[in-house]
Amino acid sequence: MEWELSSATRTVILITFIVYSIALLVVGFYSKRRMDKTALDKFVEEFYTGGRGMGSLVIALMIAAGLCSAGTFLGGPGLGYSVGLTWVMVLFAQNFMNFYILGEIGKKVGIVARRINAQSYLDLFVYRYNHNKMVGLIGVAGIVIFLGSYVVAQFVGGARLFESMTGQPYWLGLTIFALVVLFYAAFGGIRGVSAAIVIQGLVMTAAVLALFIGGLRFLLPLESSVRSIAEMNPALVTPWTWAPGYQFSMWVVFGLVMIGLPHGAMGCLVYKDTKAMHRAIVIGTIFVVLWTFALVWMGHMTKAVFPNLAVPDHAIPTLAMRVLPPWLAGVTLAGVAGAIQSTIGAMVIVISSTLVKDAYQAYINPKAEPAKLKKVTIWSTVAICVAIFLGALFPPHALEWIVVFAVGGLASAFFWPLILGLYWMRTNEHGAAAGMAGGMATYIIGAGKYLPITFGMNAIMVSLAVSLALTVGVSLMTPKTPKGIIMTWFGREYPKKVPA
Amino acid sequence: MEKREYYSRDYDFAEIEMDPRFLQCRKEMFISFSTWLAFTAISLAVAYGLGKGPVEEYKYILGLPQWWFAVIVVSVVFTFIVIFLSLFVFQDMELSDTAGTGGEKKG
Repeated sequence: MEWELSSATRTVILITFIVYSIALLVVGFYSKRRMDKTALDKFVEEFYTGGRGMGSLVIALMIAAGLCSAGTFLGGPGLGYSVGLTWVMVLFAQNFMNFYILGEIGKKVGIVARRINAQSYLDLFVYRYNHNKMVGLIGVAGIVIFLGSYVVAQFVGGARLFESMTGQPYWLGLTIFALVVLFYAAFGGIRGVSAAIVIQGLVMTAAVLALFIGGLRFLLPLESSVRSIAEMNPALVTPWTWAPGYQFSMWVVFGLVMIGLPHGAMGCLVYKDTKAMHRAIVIGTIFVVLWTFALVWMGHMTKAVFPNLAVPDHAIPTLAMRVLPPWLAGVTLAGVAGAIQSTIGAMVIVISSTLVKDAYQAYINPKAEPAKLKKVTIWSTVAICVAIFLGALFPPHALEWIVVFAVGGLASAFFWPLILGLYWMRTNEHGAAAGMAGGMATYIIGAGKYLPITFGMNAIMVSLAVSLALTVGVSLMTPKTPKGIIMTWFGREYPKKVPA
Repeated sequence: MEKREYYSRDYDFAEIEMDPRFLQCRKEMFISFSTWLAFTAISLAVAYGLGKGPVEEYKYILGLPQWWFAVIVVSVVFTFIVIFLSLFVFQDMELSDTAGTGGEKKG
């Protein structure tokens, strides 16, 4: 272990973390009571979209905290530490994620989701593409496998950090994490997740501010700290460490394709009205810019304080424990936990809604009555949390391999079929299926280096190109989408009932 | 609507009257995408342009390398741009279909 902590310090950190976890359990408890009171036939809707009445703060944080996770709080700063400012710059691509997601698809999704009563992100694809089985299969499989793996990896990262900072065993941190998420996600649904996310967002922001101010004070005068890093290794302070082409492709990954990530875009299904949506962009932007700049840059600057960390991911916690009093270091741990749990909560809802609506209700039991659906909804969400817990307790070897493809694979699959489906009438189910499969496969082949097709850039470039060609080409070569669907998605008038 | 008409694949797109809200949505989509493109292009141009040359000869502003300071400034400027676009350019609209916006097709 890199740092020598007194047991007093460890205890304070542990206590701060427990206080934070209890707050989340209380949230879960109240959300569960609310769900218990919900009428049976409205249960599934309330569970996944909560009446579509969420306000600007919640929407802003659902997107911001949903997307910012261990990547922004641990891994990103770690890479800022080991790779340098050129990586910090890459993360700036995510600054305006709220604007991209809500601005590009938010409003149209808001209108269409109300027309078709969409309960999941994948619903947008299933309904637009005529309930095509290939589209459904690729979507469900992609979300369950890729998001599921990503969630497990987040859990593992969080529990390891807990172990390092408190000295308590890995399984204890894992259990606390899992129980908390289980309570507010499985029992509270999206209301639980969104209430928890407000707490998490505040704790994350407190942690970021504390660390930024504490770190900056320690690093002054700034220029000499920066020069000391430059002397250690000039590559750490120049953008040219990565070629412009590669840097651009990373701005595509962290900026452009955000709408292809279900756990970020699901905010589009639940906001109250366009005023709330516009304000959510403003609020979310301020949070994301603050978290990203402060943390990832501080991760880089930690090099001036601890030049020889064995594990770069430890940059932020190590800095926290050096420059902050123990209770604020505990807040930092809670902040990282918050970032991870908020992402996990959003992903659990996505996986659950996908399985219940787009697998169970679509194919296994379309005539399920409300009581049965309520049971299936709760129990499948519980099962997902348990599966994730077990996966993190005994991480399979394949996990690391899958995670490499998780975000890029999903984005490559969903990006073009989503945006072309929303804004181009000619896109049809065959084009979408081809685009999804082709995009995902190309990304895996490229990122896994099975074939040299990336041309010195992130695999996203070639996978987006392939996906675009397939979505457009195959759509043009096959018949149009049924008229009723196009009317619903583009028309002023639309058929309220789908004829049986 | 009859099943035959709903599932028809043999129709003209021009038959369908576009909801004016969707036209505005598409406009805002292009605004959002263009902002991403501009922010990306300017940030990269500023960084790689000002960041040229040997690191030992870097000039510093407020303790930071000049190119890095400029990249931060670009982000700050675009934060204001994004806020302005969201609050003053993006338009409010009714999300549900009530009389006057969209509605049930008769028949």
